Amino acid sequence: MKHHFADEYSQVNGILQKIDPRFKIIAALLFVILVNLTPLTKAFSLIFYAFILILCVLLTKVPPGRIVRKSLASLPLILIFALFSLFYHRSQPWFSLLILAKAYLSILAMILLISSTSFSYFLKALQKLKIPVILVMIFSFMYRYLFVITDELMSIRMAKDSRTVGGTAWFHTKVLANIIGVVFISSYERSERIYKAMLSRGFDGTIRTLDDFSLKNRDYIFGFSALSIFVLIKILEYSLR
Amino acid sequence: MSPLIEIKELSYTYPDGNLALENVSLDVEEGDCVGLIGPNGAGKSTLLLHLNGILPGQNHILIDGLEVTPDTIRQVREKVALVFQDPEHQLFMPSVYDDVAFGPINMGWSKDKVNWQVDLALQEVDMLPVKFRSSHHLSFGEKKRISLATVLSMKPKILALDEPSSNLDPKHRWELIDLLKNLNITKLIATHDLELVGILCNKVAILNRGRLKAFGPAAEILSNKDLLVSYDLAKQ
Repeated sequence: MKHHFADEYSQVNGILQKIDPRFKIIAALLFVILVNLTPLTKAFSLIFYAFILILCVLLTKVPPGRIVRKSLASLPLILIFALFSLFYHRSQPWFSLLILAKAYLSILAMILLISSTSFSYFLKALQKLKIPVILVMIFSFMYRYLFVITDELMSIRMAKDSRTVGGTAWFHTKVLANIIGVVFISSYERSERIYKAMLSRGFDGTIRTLDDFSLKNRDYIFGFSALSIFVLIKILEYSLR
Repeated sequence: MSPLIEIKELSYTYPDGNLALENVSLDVEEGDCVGLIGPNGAGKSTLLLHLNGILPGQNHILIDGLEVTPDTIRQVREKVALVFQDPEHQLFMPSVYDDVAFGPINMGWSKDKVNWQVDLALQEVDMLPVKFRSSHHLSFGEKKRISLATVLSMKPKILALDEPSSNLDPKHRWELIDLLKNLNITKLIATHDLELVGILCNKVAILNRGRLKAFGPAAEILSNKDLLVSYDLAKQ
């Protein structure tokens, strides 16, 4: 079955695709932290951050429509947070709007990072940034098998639909519960077979990887530029009162 | 000269009480290609899992003169490469490169040696152009080839394949047969594909309900229709 993979634009010939993923991850995290630490009274700096994002979209050549479409999935969650903040900032309801903007900018930055970075490099970069290896392996397996399990779920659903006509909502709910149970058991059994495949290729519980990242001048230029822009925004934020 | 694989009266019972193998004895010489045939549940896959110590059996298995024990498991896994039936189980890393390099890295080889072996293995299965792609972007036939590369990169002495031609379309099946034919390595192939066995194997072993029922030259066993019929491997 056809899936839209998270890193589908990682092979596009964009400028940001060529940057070392470690620098990109740090820059994206810094972006999210700075956006979220922006005082609500200095909302104008969010416009600068939005411009940075637009510039990055141009540099990655990821279609803006694709990023916006992907971001829609997170909107309900962000809206809930924004609604809750309405109770907190009752006197200044537009603060909730700013919280919404901050969260949305953060989500867009993360989508851009993931879309423009090959997932295997992203995981290796996380490991190099000292994220616990076991956590990186969990991400790796999750990404690898998410689509396999989705395919399995869709096949079972098709088999169910081919033998079902009508039926109450309760009936369909019960069948869905059974399907989830079947997929859970088959996933558990699949994990046993994958572990056997790992053992047969010498896995002994220790996760080993090769160090194959090398920094180039463009990575330093990117890092320096990102840092300079962030510092500039902060200076503007404090100088413009 | 002692055989490359020596299995002596191997028995194995699964934790649920199912007796999967019973007193199986088999010798495989270096350079042999042995076809393991038998109906579903005969114990073919279970036997393959014993060869590199995934399942611990009673009595002993010698691989290249080395007894399979917890102490020798590392050396044994360098010698015996297992390719599982479903490539989705064999390819568990985020990219083709990571999957093919997984075994060599676990062997503790140097970075240069790992990279060299990865390229060589991918060249052998004609899949070098997809080196940095994710496995889930590939077709089933391509995944089967990459599965083979994941073990060829470990430079094994024995290749144990579980149903290598299952679910492949005719074109990819023939490509795989040609590929295996050109691999100069000792092979054990558990399969229902008797045509593949006839082309690739010089010896055939028939397993039924965990017992070894026949073992001999492929031409002799495959031409014995009564024998094949008696184990539901051919129609009367």
